[in-house]
Amino acid sequence: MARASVVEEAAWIKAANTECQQENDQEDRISKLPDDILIFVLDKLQPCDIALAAVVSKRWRHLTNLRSNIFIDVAHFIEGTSVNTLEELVRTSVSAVEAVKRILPHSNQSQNTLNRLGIRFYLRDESIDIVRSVDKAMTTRKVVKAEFVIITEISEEYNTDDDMMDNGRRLMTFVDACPRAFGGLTHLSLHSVRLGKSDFCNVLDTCKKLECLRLNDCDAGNKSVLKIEHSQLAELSIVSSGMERAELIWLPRLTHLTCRNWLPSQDEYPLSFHHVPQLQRLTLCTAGTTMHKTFVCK
Amino acid sequence: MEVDKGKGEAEETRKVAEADRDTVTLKSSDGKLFEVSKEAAARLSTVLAGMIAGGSIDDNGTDLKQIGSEALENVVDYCNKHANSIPSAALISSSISFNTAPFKEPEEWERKFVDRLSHDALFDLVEAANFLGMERLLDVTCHKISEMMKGKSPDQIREVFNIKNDYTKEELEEIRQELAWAFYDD
Repeated sequence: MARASVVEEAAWIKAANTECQQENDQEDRISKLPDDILIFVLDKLQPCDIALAAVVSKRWRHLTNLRSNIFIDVAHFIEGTSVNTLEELVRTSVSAVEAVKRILPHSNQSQNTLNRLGIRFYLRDESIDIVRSVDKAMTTRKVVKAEFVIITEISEEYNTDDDMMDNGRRLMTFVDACPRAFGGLTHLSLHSVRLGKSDFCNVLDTCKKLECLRLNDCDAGNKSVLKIEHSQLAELSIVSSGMERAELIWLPRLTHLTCRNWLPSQDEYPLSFHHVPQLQRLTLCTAGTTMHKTFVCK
Repeated sequence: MEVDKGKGEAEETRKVAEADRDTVTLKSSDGKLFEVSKEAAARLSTVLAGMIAGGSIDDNGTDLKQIGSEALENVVDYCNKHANSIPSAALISSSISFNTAPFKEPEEWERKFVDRLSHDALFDLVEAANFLGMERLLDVTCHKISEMMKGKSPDQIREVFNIKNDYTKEELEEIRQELAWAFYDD
């Protein structure tokens, strides 16, 4: 996504000067289309392309503010094809933060409902500004579906226990600082986070609208037991966890449960079901051994 | 829609005959007739589905005054191709997940279908799809437009679509600052 090559200083000045030169025979077909179709087109573009489209004309700028689906993925901000150094990673992360800070309040002017808001970002200190922007947006406009995918800068298999605890502490500072943002989330995906047991409950309590929770390499300590209670949660997925057992205490709306690559010790029953009346689909997929006991339903 | 007054009986007979056919005839603004599978038309277009269900389809060609013959030919072509293609997966996924658009990406044949269109034909087709309430065709054509914008500078976008730049130099500078994050200047 190297844009530096296409957008140069000269282009801007030229753009301002060519205003009167646009009198060629070809018609401007696209501007005749109704707003909803052009917004539909914009929804298919990435944030940088949408920003560039806003520069095209006043109409397009207006359209970018009318969008009701906003997806911002830190991966959209990678310069070149991949992130190879920490420096590049920081730059990518900061760009994503800047984009969110600009896009969310800007869209605010129109006061329209956001049907879907999705942000994928690094669990790094600067990302607090992303959470703050969402926190603010949640107060000024209706957000129907909101999703955070919070990833870590180190890939999961290389995270040490200390890294996971640091990640957990950082996540808690985000949750404590912006409870409204987390309170409005319908989808949350966490990676390599270790939380204290009470912290885990706090996160679930704060995220009161949560419908889908994905825990990738997350636990409440090695060999920990996680008790889960939530009134709205419909989908839960636990992947590569270091925890020993998950107790589904009270999940009246849970319909989908997925557990993958989770290797609890053979001495315990890893899953127990208490009040889970709506469960429709259970997916269990793990490199299990003959030593693993069967799952138990109470 | 023309209504034959005072010929109630004949109208009824015609409607019954119409209901038995498995194609419908559509008439473009310039009077050309096209036949399309009734099943595909009803499945792909909410407007045609409504007309078929409501019995307002004309055996001699249902007038679609807003659609030219070239666009209507493409619409019919799309419906017929769609009727013969096997969908690869469910169109709408049940659970939303990050960055998953509610619509799936265009299929290979859909891509080819829009790629061969001229600039004007593409926009005629977008308008026709919008008029006929053809969600999938609208999705595929809008996807094509978005591809034409992807990775382009504002100048290049203006050039591709002949859009007039109505900003003043000062306004442009202002937006440039506002959207600085999108331009890797530093």
